[in-house]
Amino acid sequence: MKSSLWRTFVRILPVAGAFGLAFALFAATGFSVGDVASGIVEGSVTGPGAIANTVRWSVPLVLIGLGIAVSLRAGEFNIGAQGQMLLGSLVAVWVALEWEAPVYAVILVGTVAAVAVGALWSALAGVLKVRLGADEVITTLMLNFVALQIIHWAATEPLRDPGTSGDSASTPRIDPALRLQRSGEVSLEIILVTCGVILVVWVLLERTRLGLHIRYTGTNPEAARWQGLAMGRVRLSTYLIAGALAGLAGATETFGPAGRVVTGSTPTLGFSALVVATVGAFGVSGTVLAGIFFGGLQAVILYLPIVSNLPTSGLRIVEGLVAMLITAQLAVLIRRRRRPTGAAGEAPSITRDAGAGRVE
Amino acid sequence: MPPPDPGRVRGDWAPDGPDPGAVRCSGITVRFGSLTAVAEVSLDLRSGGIHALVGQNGAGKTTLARVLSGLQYPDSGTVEIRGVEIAPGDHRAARDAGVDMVHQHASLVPDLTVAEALELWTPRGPIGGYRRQSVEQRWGEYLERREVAVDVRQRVRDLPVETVQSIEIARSDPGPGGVLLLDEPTSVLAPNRVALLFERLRATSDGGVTVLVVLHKLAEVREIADSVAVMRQGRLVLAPTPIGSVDDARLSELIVGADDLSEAGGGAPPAVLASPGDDSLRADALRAPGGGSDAPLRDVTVTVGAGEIVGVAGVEGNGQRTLVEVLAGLRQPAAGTVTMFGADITVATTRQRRAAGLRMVPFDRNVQGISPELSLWENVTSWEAGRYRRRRWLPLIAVQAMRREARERLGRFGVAYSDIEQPCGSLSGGNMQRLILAREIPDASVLIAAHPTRGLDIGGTRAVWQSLRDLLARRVPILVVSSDLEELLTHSDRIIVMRGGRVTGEFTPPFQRSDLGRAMTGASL
Repeated sequence: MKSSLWRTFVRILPVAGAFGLAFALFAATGFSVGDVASGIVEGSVTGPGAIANTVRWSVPLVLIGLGIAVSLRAGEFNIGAQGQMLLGSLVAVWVALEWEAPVYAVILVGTVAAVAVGALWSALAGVLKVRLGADEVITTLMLNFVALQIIHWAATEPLRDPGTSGDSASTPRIDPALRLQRSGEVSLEIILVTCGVILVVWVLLERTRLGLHIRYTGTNPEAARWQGLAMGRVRLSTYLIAGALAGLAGATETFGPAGRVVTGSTPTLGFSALVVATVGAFGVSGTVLAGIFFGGLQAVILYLPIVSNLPTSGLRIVEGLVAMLITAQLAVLIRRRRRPTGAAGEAPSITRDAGAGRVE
Repeated sequence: MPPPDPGRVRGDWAPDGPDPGAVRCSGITVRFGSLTAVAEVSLDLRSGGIHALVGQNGAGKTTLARVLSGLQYPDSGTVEIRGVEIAPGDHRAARDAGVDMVHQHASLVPDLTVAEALELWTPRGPIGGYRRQSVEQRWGEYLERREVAVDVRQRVRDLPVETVQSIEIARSDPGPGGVLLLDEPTSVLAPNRVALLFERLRATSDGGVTVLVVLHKLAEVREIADSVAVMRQGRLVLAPTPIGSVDDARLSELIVGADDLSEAGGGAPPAVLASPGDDSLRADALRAPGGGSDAPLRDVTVTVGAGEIVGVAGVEGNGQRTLVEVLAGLRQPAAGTVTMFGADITVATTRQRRAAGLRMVPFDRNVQGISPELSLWENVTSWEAGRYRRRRWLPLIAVQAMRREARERLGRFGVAYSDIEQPCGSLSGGNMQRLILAREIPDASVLIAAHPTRGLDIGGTRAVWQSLRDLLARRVPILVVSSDLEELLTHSDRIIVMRGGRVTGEFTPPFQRSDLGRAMTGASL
């Protein structure tokens, strides 16, 4: 944690590089770099409603990103946040549409249900990994598609909004009275919840036994095994935490800016959050900063085409470049973290002893 | 590396001239830090024949072989190959002079095909382009001439170990007049494959190559070698001697040292508190599959009594690692039982065993002992973080108390550090081992220590044994696995010897080195 800020800075470098490359491209194709740059600042900070938009996108990125960071700290590559979040959203919508009760009761129950469903969806992959050794990269990725199909079914059958169909099919919007926030607004409740989650995750990682064991297992599973840590339980708990936070983000989307679940063009928050956690060096403060940064970027992507004649695809180029450069870093990290395998009995007997050379 | 064209004789070797000796070295000394691996060794190997070099782990055999093949810089001394002095540490020059080495762990790249892996060993131009077909054809013929039956298009990783070894030997074959060094070639082979290896070595030798082979087992030496040399603690204690003129008893005595108890008795006397056979820790008829390159356990029975140090001796890879992993709960035995203070813990998890007071000093401190990225205090106290909970109803831990406890323990065990927050990986080997002891020893009621002093200097070694002796005062049973026979002889109340996954001997003081040596090497009486 000490050097989390520094590591965050190092990881922002590829982002800066991506902007540099993109600006070079804009300039070469005849766009005004100055206009685009000022548009970026306006769209994320200074423009009307820009801060609200940045916050609107930062919230889910921070929530999901923190869950992913916890997973990554334990050495688990849970990339199923997208599906976990969508199912959380869906359940929150379902509660909001089907249950007539006082506003705060509906929001509370809907949120708890979303958290539980996200956690369970994630735990499915966790159990497969811990009990059967199924590779979590594959299971969590594939569960995303299953979740998408469930969303699609729900939005075309039981929870269909009659005005929509096909790829843009969606659930009906929930009762406006249940919305804590609409676009262009900032909800104090959601911000408070997010701040609470930030604090809780920090305490979890730094001040609880589970947190210590997550970090020990993640940094050296072999040593954790020799010290008898309950590694299966530790790993499974990170799936529950990551899924719960993704589900919570789904609930804040439903009761906040989204108000419904759309099947098709959902912004892939779950995957952006993976980038956020990586850029944030799997640390709490780093992930929060990176979440705000990418939240701002998302706000800009939606704002810039309106003020400059730069097409949306231009900003997708920025996004693509960022993802590409970050992925290059992520690949290095994955390779480094994966090396010590915790599987029983596979430890090679080659001795890596400090000091003495090989003597025989 | 032999050139792919057959029959070319390299160097200036003249078969009709006076024999300049295949390999001659003098005054070779190699130090690793404070450890002298090879001390003033002079060796003169005659041309032709198969010479065996034997000795315990750490006797300096591999290091000497590496010096001879130019893979290791000696601190002093010279090496001559067939009368030509080669520059120290120049592997290329040594290969050009006709010396090559087959390593204990295969040196062919596992991901490549056989042809590619062999091509990699052939010096080519700066760019080194090649055509797959011609390479495959060339190496296919090369191996065929040497009667290695293998498809060169197969990947190295898919081949059985003995085939890879045959390829390595063929690769390293220096041709007539050359010298071939082999480092423990039998250690990776199943027993029934050893005969095939020996046939191949014999054929190589008959082809005019001088063979020097590092071996552990006397039976194998008897089977293959024309002459034998012995190293002990870095010194050559027996110059190459015709195998017929020295018997097994003499050899094992040379390998483990003379039965001079005044020499071994330099340490503390065996603890008087020992009560052997009260079975505080008991493993009964254990059978378990071996992990990695270690032998499986075949009916291993070990007991450790209160206040007793039981040493487990043996050449590495003979089941010691598997035994420790089974005792630690890291590996399930296929049969047999483990009991601790009378309670059956055969199926208990590592965590349950630790809760009952079992503590372990693992084999490899960097890999199994610590997490190098985490801080010192996290490495000392994490595993029992539950002890530092602030309130029963709140899962918060008192980090200050954990740091305090870690400081106290590190101080008690003499760990030199600057900041309790510094990453554990920044400690030196000796300090890291002390940290592990500081974690494992204070609450131990049974201790298993695997190679507790490996790689440590004299000060570190002494500190480790002092800590273990202090435990005896609390009548804690201790099982120590070590490949350093000297320290086991000095400190153990009882020694068991493992070979091939079995206990081949159990000894009580006064220890007879020759008996231990026989049990370790399998020499006949």
